[in-house]
Amino acid sequence: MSATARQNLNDQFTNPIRLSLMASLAGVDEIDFKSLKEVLDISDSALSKHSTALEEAGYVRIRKGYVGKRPRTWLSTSEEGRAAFTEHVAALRELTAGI
Amino acid sequence: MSGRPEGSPGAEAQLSALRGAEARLAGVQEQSRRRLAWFCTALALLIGAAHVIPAVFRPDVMLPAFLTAMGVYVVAVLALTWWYLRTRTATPLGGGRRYLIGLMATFALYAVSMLLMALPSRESWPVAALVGLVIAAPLVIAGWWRRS
Repeated sequence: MSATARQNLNDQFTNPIRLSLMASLAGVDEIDFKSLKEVLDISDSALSKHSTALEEAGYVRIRKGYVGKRPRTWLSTSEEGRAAFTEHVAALRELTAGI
Repeated sequence: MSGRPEGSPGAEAQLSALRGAEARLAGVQEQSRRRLAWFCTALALLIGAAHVIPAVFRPDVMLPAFLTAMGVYVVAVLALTWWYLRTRTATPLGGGRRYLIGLMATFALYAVSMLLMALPSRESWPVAALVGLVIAAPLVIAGWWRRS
């Protein structure tokens, strides 16, 4: 197990909710807020808080729009977020290898 | 960056959370793939139909029927787009790019088919229908294409 792997862990993703959020976003081009909330099984406020934090870190994009008169919020990963998440997961796999 | 101990429960718990999220996302991914595939199929067939309509309802022979068919066509395209935008909850990974490539290829074939329509010898409707299917093919394939 390497020190590099430990260094590649990203503090933004060590929270399980943020990690699950990034994993969900990594599996789609974009997803709406309501569906993501159901996938993660968390409250609106928790999703809003964590997605905003990741947006501020430059890892998540949040797009607000309308379908008819209904407001819809869409979330996706940025290129930087995808790269950082891939690196974090690779580090996790390296750290847990052989356990 | 973090300095967690090697192989700590933290890392294992994180991987467990990761696997859980991936499993829960699978249903959303499958539904979004199917929805995009059916949307692409219906839209592609409608674009193909735009080539068939003038062959069936020749505007130089039956203009009212042609205009009515084109009106129904426009309403169908708008209704289909509205349905997709309203019911879409996620876009599958790579789906947006595949859709654009498929749509551009289908429109390119449609543009080529416009040249055929300008030829002096008119197509019969079965030939036009066959050409319509060829026009639709790229977008249908793009819709159902799965990442390996």
